[in-house]
Amino acid sequence: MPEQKTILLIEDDKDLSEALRDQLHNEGFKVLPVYDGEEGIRAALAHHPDLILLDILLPKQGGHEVLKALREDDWGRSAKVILLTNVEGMASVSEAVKEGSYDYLVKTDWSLPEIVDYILQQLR
Amino acid sequence: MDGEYRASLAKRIGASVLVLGMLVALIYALRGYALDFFFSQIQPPQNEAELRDFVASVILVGGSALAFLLAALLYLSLTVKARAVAIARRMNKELLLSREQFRILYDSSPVPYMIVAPDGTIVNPNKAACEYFGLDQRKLTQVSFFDLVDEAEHDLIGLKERFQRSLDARQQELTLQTGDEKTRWALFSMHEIATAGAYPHMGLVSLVDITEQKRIDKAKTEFISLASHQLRTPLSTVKWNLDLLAQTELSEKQRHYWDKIYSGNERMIGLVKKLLNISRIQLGTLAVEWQKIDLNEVFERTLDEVAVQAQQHGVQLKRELPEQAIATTDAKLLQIVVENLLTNAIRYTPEGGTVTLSCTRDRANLTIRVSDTGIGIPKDVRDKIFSKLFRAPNARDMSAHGTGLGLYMTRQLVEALGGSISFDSREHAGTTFTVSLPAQHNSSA
Repeated sequence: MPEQKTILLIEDDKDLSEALRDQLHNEGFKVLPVYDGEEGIRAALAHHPDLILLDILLPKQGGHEVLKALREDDWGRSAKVILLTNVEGMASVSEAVKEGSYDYLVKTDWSLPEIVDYILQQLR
Repeated sequence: MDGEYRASLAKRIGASVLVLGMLVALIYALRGYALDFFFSQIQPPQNEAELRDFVASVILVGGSALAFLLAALLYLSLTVKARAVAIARRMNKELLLSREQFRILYDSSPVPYMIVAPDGTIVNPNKAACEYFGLDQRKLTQVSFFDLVDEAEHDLIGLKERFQRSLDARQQELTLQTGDEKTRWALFSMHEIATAGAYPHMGLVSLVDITEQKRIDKAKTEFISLASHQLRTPLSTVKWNLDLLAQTELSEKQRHYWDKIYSGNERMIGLVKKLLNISRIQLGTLAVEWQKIDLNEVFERTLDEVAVQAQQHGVQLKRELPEQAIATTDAKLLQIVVENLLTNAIRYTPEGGTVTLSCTRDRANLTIRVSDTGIGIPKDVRDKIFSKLFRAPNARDMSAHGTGLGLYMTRQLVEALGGSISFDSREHAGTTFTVSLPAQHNSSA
């Protein structure tokens, strides 16, 4: 059981958020779910999570705007962020990757156990 | 001086020299007779008065001859000058006409034109340029050309240096900012012209607007990306909830149904991916990301992806890979290509068969082969195998699954990577697909 790390989950689709949250919770993570970009920025700067899972298409502020806001913060600059998205080929994805997230994972290409394995690698 | 004038002048000078020469020759030839005649006709002067008359006569004759010569020369020069003036007038008239024609063409052209100095100073923008930038001529000549270029999209320092080095540029795409702060895209061309003025050379700039085309391309890309999001989101929901369900206790029957739902959902995910890739290829919006990659990493990842399928089909997966292979290509697209070929090979190989992935690399090229001991491709359908939605009859008989899109998409992706694909097949014995790709990619800066 990993020591309890906190993961901020910024995902507007409640079904996906719940599935991911349940899996991460089962793996011993503390999960903070939020459903829009604005709330995501606020929660990230308030709680300083160990990892941020960030969707791209979000209400209020999109994923790449969240990333930009994080990078302007002293803590946020080195925050670990993984983009989880079902959007490929859009300018916003390339922008977000350019702005320095780890990588982007296409949700349909990754099962929940695979995502957990990936997260554990990033948190090591 | 034009050629005609020079020819005319040469003729006149030539004729004059010839006549003069003939006269001199004649006088020289007849000098004896002339002198005899002269002295037979004229009495030598007997006294001073007669000598004076004689000298006066000589002076008069000589002077007249000289005057005649000078008159002839003056006439020649005046004729030459008049001819030169006539030709100069004609040339000037033609020049003025040509300038007027150019001015009308330049001013009335729907193509934005302007003349730009190496330091970016804009001179004489035409009407279309003023309309394009939403600035009147006075305002447009007060801004620098570099102020019109979107600095977020272009390296302005590099552009300024280029202008200093050369005022020739061919069909470069530029993102521009207009006076009313709108973004426009144009194909920019510039030709160096000699000028009289502060700058000995300036650039004649023309802009072909491609804003509409860029907006359509951007809209197409965003539509496909949004469509991919809309199609994939419910598929992700099913996939992840199935993952959670698999972690609970399921009866044998429930597990059986779970397998069906899961594999159906995975097929749908694969189909959506293929359709999206094909749409991007057909719309020309597929973006290739060239990177130096470790090919073996891509191959191992792909083999992992198909390992379960191979196991389920009872097919052995083999690899013949170099110890190290680095190439410049797009890792994601390459993985799609190899995965598609491997998936096909496994699907169409009977239980107990073998599928082999091999790769060789020389200095310039990469050769990837996927070989199987499967059903092969019948001779009569080999020319259709890369066609959209085509499935060979024996493939349809062996497996109900398959969209007929895989090889079509694979070829398009291989071509996008600068390569080619071919195959060799024997019915009932197996098929080898060979993909040849350049190992390096030269992209222009």
